[in-house]
Amino acid sequence: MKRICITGSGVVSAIGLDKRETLASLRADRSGIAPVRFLETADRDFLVGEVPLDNGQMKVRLGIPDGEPVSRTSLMGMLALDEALREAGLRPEDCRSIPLISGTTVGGMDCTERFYREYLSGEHTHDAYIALHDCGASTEAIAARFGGFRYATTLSTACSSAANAVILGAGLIEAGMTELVAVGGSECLSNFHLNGFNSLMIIDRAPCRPFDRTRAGLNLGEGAAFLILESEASARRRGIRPVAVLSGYGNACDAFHQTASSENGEGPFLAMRQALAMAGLAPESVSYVNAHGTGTPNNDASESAALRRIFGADCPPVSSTKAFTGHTTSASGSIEAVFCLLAMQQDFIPANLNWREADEACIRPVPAFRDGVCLNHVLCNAFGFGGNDSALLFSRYE
Amino acid sequence: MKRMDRKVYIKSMAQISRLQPDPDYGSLFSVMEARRMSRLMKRAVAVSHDALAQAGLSVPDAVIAGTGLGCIENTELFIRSLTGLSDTPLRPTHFMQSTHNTIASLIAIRLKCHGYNATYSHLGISFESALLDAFLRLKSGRARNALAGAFEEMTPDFARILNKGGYAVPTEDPLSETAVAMVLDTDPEAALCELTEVRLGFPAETDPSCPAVTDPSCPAVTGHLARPDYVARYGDNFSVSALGACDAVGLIAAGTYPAVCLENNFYGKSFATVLFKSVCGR
Repeated sequence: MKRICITGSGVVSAIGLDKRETLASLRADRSGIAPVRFLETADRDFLVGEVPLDNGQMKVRLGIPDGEPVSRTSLMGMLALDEALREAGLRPEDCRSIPLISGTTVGGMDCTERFYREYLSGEHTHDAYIALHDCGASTEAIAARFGGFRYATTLSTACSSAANAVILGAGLIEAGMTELVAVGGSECLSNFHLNGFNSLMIIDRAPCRPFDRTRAGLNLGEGAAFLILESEASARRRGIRPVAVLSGYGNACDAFHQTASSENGEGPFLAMRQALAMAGLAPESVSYVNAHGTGTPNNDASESAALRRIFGADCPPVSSTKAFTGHTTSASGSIEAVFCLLAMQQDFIPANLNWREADEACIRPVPAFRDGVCLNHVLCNAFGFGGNDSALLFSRYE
Repeated sequence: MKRMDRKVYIKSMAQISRLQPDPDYGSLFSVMEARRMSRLMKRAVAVSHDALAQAGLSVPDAVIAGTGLGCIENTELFIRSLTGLSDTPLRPTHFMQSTHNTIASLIAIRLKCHGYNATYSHLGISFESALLDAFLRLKSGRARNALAGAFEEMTPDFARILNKGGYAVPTEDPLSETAVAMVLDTDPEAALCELTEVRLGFPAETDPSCPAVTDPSCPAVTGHLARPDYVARYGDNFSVSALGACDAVGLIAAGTYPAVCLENNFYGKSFATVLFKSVCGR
């Protein structure tokens, strides 16, 4: 079987505008969750993980004229993809032969909710934003920033979108349909989903506490991350040493409920089991699990049940990094994949911040930053509404 | 069999469009169920049920959907509450059922299908993206069969908004909507046709290696401004190429042509080419 190598990655979230800043925050246990600063919303008391730049500041960084209509999802995606391409030694002209697979659900909803009343009126001031609404448009805008990719497409499986983009990209390389592919996801905060999650009563007004007995919901976040997947032959030819390999992946459907997870964690269990089977690895080979761990009572119990079914009593170190970034929804799969790559390269396990009290229904996560641990195989979970559950397995490139 | 050597066949298809109206939903849903579901959700379940029954399959290995705008009716209901355009308080149901993956999830929940599940949302090639994923999974042997489809609904308000934004979708009744489900299988028994190629991103008319260009006996079913075959028939929407695909499969199954190429150029923003071939005379 062909090895899928990772030769570049880039990330933007509440804890950093690139990997250097992200790494410093993870090492310092520094959360990016704070009251709303940038989202135009009536209720600024919500705690969220915002990327610490407004749209204008992002446009300045990217050299985009202030008046140009671009969604926040696209702006963040451009920043993250730029970092990933640079690390992989790819120039914009190389992108024309590379597919771009992104994941998002919010897309340009931040624009639509702002101008929706005007769209329905006789006014035309912001008509240029209408074509930014859909998920695909946000990906095409990211692609256009680099002069266009070979083609682009977009996964929209709610909070596992970016993980599923990684899975499609790997499939394209395995099938010999491409040697290189940029995969990931981007999602900005919107009033639409902030109010949506709030209406489902799964947002905690206090900092989220994944796997803690007192956990009471999630904090939303935003961000983007992209990985460059490459066949081993191509990486050799280009003289690029892979950062790691994607040794396995799994996608399964919980098929239980549109917004709730099954008690026995069937979907997560099947996804993790598939990833391990594809890599030909026994569960005890896994050195660390970056959990989906949103902080909702339901998700964390269901994920814990699945982890116990996979690992038995001998669970490897697990942490959720949601208390650093907030739940970055569609982008979480690729953002946390980059955290896993950083952890593997720098020999550490990021903390499961805010965990204090054990819960019988949950695994006990790693509560504090753990340094000097060699991580050979790392599982990264991303689960979405509708039971769209995915797991990615990264291994050291030997 | 060696990896990627498997052939992929279309076993069955079902559709609802303005030319193929809604079936009687009474046999599929209780009154309570029907009340909780949007029009698009009911259609998605109906065409999936129909396609699976035709293929003699109860639970597929994979469920893969495409939708350009997702569940836009519920999305709008939630936005209207959010922006104060309606007095209805924010309803969690509208949010829950606004997400693009609601459709493929619903199908999986009803079938108790724990297999691979994905949803693509990419402008006018959401259907072809779903088809490409299904094609890859069957070719590689990761799945023996897959239910792939495309689902689009429209509201009068959103149709007007899209026209302001440069899309020529119908704003009067009948609005243009799509519900298509196909069963793909690696088993050729009783297949309608073979699916031999799914390409994203290449405008067919500029790609010299495109089958429709190299093989003069292969006609094209097209969906772009120059030759709007299926768009003229069904009206424009983000998933209308799936209805064009049904036309292409139908032409082959009827023995009219040995191969048909589906060419999709969506407002010059997204492109796809799909090739269907006859299974006769293999």
